Amino acid sequence: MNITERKERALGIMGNEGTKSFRWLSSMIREKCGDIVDDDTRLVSAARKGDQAAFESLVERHQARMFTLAFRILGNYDDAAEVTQDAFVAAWRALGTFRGDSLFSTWLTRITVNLSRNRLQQTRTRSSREAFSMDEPFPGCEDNRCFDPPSHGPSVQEMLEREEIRARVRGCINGLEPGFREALVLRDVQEYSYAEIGAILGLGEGTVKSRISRARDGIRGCLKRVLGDI
Amino acid sequence: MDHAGIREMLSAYLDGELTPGERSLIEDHLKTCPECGDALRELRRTVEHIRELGEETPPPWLTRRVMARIQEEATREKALKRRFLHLRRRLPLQAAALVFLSVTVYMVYRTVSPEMKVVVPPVAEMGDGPVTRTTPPALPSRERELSRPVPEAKVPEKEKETGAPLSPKGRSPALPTSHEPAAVLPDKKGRDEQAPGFAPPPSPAPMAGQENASPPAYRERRGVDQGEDRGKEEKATPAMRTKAAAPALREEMRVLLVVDDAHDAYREIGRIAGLCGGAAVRWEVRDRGGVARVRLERERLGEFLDLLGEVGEARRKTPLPSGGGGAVYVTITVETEGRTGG
Repeated sequence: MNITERKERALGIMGNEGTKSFRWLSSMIREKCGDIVDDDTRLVSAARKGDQAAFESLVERHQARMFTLAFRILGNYDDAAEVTQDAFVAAWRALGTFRGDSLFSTWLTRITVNLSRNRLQQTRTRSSREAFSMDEPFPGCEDNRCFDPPSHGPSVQEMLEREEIRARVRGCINGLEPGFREALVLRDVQEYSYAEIGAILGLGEGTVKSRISRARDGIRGCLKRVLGDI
Repeated sequence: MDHAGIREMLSAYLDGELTPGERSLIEDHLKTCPECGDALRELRRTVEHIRELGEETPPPWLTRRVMARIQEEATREKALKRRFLHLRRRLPLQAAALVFLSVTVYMVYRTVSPEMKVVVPPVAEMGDGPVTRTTPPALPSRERELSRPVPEAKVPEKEKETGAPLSPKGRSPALPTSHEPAAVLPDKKGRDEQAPGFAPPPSPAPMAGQENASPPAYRERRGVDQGEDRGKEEKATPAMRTKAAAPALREEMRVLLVVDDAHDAYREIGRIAGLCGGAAVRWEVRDRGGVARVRLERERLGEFLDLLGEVGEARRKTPLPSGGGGAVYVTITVETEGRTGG
């Protein structure tokens, strides 16, 4: 399944009804993604020959995605920034071994996930980091009463609420076990198919399916606890 | 399918990762089960919440830092490649130089090696050459008296140089030998440097290294004195006898061989050494003569000397080594007739 089909499927989830606007968006993304893939191939080819400007374009193109992935897995901004840097440098070093069997973005994602996993293990070894348990109350909540986190956003009430929800969701994701978190982030943030996630994580499709299901169920329970109603 | 089974599949249903059969099963169930419908709605909302998180904004310096690191790596790699390139160019030259050097060394070694193998025997052993002063072995006062050198005037000049001729048969180890030790024994002054009446303690058994220095001279003196002081010898103290009987670590003997043709003589020496179960261990080739050194068993020494007498005129320069088994080293100084006569 290529990136275009993936995007289509992702859109399909959001609007199973298949409205006109979604169809239009889908076709636009298909064209756009096709261009991205072609550009990636061209840039990778140039970068393999030592063209640093080409590689810089690849960095600019994928840095937000890779940073988000690392941030979702690690839950720490600085660690995510460092891991993203390391991932791009590692990709530059290993460009010679990239055969093009998969998309460059998939290959880069695999590198980022592996480095994030390593960083998480190091962090866990360094400090006995307490994972946020699904059964425990959300930090900042006592007896089902939650305190508002300090707001850094605009003063509009809706924005505050959205930001609060985002913070809760991030907290719930961070509370997942790393294996479940990786699968969930690759599916719901990076929008990879189950088969692709299996290839990236080295897992069978059944395991991926099970992990995503359990991770979502955990997030659902967590959000119900911290938000009251989803 | 029960509710638990259906709910496990809801996540995959949302993602469109079910087979058509599974999908229709879920849809049929949802039509009749409002609880599972609620669960699906919650799950869909959960997914929406997660997706609404969107992409995070990476730090603005990320690309710059990545490219700086890559630039650094590329520079380092380039420098490394340049170094290897130099090495690749230089390597054949260095290899050629090494081969040339090896060949040169080998050729030089082959040219010089015969000279390198020549080992000049110690002067004291050969009996000619510059006088070497060696410290006499520490002896009891009585023995020191016995070892006093005979005045040189009493020794015939010719005998002093060549020693007594060896007859092919009937050699006796007690036969007197040459008097060349005058060169290696300390002169009177040297001996007088020791305080009168000073009796140094008996020295321990001679070491292997000392064997080639002073002890042969000492033995030779004793050999010369044997004839004159046989009576005194018999009266030697038990300690002296013990010392004399002390086993030498290496038996040495020197023979002068006068021949017509030195080259034939070397060949013959090697041959007869082999016949007697020994071997020539060293050759020193000179213009009209030289020195051969042979190692053989003590028991075969007589036989060897007999055969040597047939090669040329063999003159023993030191007495036969005293009894016992073990290896004997015979140093044969080969001289041609003309040279000896001259």
